[in-house]
Amino acid sequence: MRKSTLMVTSLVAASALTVAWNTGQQTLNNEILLLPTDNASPAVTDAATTDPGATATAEPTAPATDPAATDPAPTQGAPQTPTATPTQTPTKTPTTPAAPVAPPAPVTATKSSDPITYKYGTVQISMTTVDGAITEIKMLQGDATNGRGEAYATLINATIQNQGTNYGNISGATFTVDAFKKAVDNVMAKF
Amino acid sequence: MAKNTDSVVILGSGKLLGLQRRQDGVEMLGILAILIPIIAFLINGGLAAANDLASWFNAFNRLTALVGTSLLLIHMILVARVPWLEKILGLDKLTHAHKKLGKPLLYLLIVHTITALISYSISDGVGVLTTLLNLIGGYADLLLAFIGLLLMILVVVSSIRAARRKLSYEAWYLIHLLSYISIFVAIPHQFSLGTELLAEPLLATYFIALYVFVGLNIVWFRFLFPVVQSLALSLRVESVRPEANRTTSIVIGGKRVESLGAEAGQFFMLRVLTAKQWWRPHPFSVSAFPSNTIRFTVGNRGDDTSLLQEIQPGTRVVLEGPFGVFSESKRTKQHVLLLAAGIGVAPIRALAESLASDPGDVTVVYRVTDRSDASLLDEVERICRERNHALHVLDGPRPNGPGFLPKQQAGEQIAPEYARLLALAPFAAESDIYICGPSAWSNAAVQALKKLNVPKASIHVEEFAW
Repeated sequence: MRKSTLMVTSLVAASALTVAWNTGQQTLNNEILLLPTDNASPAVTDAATTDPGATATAEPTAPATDPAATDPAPTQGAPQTPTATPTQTPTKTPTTPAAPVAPPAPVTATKSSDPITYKYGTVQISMTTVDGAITEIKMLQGDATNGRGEAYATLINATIQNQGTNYGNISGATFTVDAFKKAVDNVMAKF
Repeated sequence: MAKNTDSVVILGSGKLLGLQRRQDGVEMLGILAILIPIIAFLINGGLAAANDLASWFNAFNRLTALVGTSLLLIHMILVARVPWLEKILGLDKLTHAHKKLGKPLLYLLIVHTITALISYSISDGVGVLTTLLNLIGGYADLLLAFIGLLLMILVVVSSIRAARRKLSYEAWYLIHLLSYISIFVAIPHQFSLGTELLAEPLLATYFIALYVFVGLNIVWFRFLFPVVQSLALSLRVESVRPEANRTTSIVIGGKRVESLGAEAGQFFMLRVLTAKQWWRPHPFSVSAFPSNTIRFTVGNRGDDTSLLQEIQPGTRVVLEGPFGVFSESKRTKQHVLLLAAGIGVAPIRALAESLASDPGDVTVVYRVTDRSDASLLDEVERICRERNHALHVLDGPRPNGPGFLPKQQAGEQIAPEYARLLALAPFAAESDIYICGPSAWSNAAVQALKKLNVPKASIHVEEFAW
């Protein structure tokens, strides 16, 4: 390659990489892992307006769950979030109506999800709620190799923080995240 | 068929610029193919998400996987013998790039494997070996990919120079065929487990498109097209004639041979369809185009080339090609200097016969050991006489050190080679220079030309030792 062309090409390539890097940083801040809490509140209002009948999607056992949940779309990347949010918000409905029903004394309940089988194994969780709010999640089943153990810890925190599954993907654990979210949706439907 | 003297040949700096632009364009395509997945990876927060040792290793594992896959596909297209690429860069350059890319590619894939293992071993808190066993035991796709990596190591090791010297061509060739398998078995894990490809349908589509594109090009241009074409043209050996200095001329005829579109200076891969030789093609330069046939002149280098001298006329052959940019297509100057040594005379003879020229434009330098035993010398002499080319036949022993001109005699004035060349070819610096001979000889000639400040773009070297 001629020197001048090589220089121009390198410059263009370097700037493209820099822009990509910056975009990546922003993507990360906005999307991946834990969503900031202010994102959670609009999600709840969304949920209130959604048809409660939509909770039915969480009821059936794993294999029959809405195919939309397994769609690669709700993974990561800025442009994908808008589509991800609506498919996941309905699952919030059980928690919100539960709150006014609860008497002054705190009501603690613990329930287990159905075992969710997926590509790399089975995920089963138990969830404890106090007055309808998720306070604790335990892994009953789940293959913890290949960094999945770590992923579960992150996912449990994210679920408690968001009081639901309205958070992004963990890059590198797409299928595990999907399976975990299904388990959360499944158990939440039982409360 | 060969361009005749009356056809229009475009020369000049405008053509040179066009040729360079096209080359740059192809090289930029290669860079782009590597850049696209890196950019997609970065935009997706691939590196930004890395916050501890395990995730750093994991990020690096994915990045090397993406770059490695792109490089692998480039590596493959380089030897797919696709005409659109070959016309711009030439087969020898493509093959050279393929050879150069082999090792870095393997290193990248090994780094990919090792970083993946380290990353998972940290996050699982188990040893690297246990992780490896877990992964290849737990996922069929990873087991396949691991086998692919081992095969690839075998292919690269068998291709390094030390091994090539010990291995027979046949053994090397068979081992090299394994690379196709190693690539195939590595594909499943990329799409079933590759985070980037699973998360980004666009990037997955990009890679699928690349795979399909490269695959089709290889299957068609490298395997099917030459066979289909040669059978359709019903190419056969017409005659075999021994020439001086243990060389042999083989004439290939058939229907519409001119539809192959070969130019003087180009070469074909010749596959002789006999039980022993069908699987093993040889690159041979066209030495002449006598009346709608193609004539190769082949040196006897032992191996299969000695068998070629005994081919029976009528034997079917497959011609793959034409290849090479050692032709008028790269010429941009009025003056031309043709340098030939040994059997390198074959394409030089064809060029001398067909280059568009006015008397005195073309200078031919033919380096031989013994004038009385020089292949095609009578033909070269006749062509130069008829077309008014300057011809210098240089005979005599080799110099003691590196060099491409004969050893200077006792009485001669000692002069550096570039000065001696300038005396033979005064227009050397303003010429297009075509060099064909053994690689050590060609290198010495290129060194001398560099001393004369001949621009790189004007030097055209055909290597036949690859």
